[in-house]
Amino acid sequence: MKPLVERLKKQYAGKVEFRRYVDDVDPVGNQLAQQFNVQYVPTFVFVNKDGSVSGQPIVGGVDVSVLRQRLDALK
Amino acid sequence: MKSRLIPWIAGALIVAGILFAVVTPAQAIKKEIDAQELQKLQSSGAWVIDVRTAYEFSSAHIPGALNVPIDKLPQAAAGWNKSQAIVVYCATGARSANALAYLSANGFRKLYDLTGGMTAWNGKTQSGGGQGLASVGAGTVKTAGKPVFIDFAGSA
Repeated sequence: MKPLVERLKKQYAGKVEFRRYVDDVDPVGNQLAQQFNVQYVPTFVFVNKDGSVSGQPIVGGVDVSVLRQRLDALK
Repeated sequence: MKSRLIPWIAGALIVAGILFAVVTPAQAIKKEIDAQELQKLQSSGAWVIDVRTAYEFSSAHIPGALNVPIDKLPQAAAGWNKSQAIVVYCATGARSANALAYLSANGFRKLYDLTGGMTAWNGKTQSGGGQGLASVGAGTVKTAGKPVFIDFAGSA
């Protein structure tokens, strides 16, 4: 999924902040993973600019069109 | 003469039928179905099993589905009736295919896989029923005034 996410990151530059946390490496990521009870990777979480979580997280491989749809829905 | 043969022929046919039924194993039903077929099966008594994690299940699932995460399936299925019709689904179809392979190998005969899993599901959903996003107080991510996309990745 990494190349796909990198592509999206370029396309949404300036509009959406992309954060990538690698399992057991990043302490901030670990804290967030606990908050969201992340059990499997990849897991994608979508957050509106006010900090509220948008919809349900996506777990596992997913089509780019689904990710785009969710990104476009962020407020 | 003919009338004497009729009971013998009828008897032979009955015996052949019984032998055929005993010797030929029942064919397992294992097929991919869509949302409409799932609803029909569910209303006729099929179990709908969600093999995703409790976390995924609690976010959204098909109403009436039971959550049996795939790693818990062998333990759970050990007590199930093998003639029970079972519909399995996951997020996209990968885990449910594994679940179906396991159930099929363990003698379950009426198995169905929801094509495309939750990603393709366009019917109603329900949330709750497990430990998940709603129960951990999500919604408090610090942002810099822009929407955020978080990718919890498995490797660098």
